[in-house]
Amino acid sequence: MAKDETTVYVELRFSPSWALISDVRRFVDVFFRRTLEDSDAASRVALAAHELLENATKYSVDGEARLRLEVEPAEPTPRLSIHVSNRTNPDEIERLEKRFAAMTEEPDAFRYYQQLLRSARGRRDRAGLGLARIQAEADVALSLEVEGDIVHIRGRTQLEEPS
Amino acid sequence: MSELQLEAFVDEGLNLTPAYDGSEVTLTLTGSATVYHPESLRSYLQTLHAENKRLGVKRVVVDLRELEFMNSAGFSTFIDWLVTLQEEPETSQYMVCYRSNAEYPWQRRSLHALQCLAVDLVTIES
Repeated sequence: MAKDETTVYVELRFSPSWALISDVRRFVDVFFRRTLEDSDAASRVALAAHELLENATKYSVDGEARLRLEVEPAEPTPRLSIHVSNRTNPDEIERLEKRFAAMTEEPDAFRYYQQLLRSARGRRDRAGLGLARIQAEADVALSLEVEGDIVHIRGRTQLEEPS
Repeated sequence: MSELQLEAFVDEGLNLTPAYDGSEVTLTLTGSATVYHPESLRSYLQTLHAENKRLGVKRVVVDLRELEFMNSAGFSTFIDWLVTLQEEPETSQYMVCYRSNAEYPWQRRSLHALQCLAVDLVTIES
């Protein structure tokens, strides 16, 4: 992507279903591969999209989610962003806020991820594993914003500089 | 020679095919592990572990080369298997070798995270 190019983006507004998530992940992968010609970055953002859309599918109260992908010119390398939003219930908002607070307490994303993986056996003890995985494996920094009953999760990452 | 008493696992676009050659077990994954209800996969891997113990295998190969993706719920079931293996006495433990595909970059990162939990039991071939 040339430095003087404008931001490239795509937005999807859809009623997510479990079966569609894999199709969207493949689309995200292709979108970033074609935009950036960087298969590793495309794979990282695709993983983030998949995990975020699974959460949106599970907890959306009206069956709808929005996804925005962006490639923004930046120095020294383009910045990639992903934004998933959906309406949800107060309990889920509280859970999400707690998970983000816990992630913020441990600034080392990989260490936090390992702590979750080492926690007692069973999925319930690893709540938030998908979010932790995005930060640690995909190297995508996440943030949470709540606007009424709408949760916005934004992820940002940068391409690696060519060695 | 005893036989592996475990059928293939087919569920939600994911196939797991086990094989035993008399010394080691190979588990081949194909498709995409985007499991919504991971309980059946978790149970399958625990049964595989019991079979590995019964047969006394010392090495299990997990072939991921045809696995397009695995979500965190699916990944969690492989962590559970590893935790179970770690809890066994040393005489009942075995090595788990993951075969990965460089065309799926997530595999390298996920397997690195998994290996960090048990460097003495997990190896990665690419």
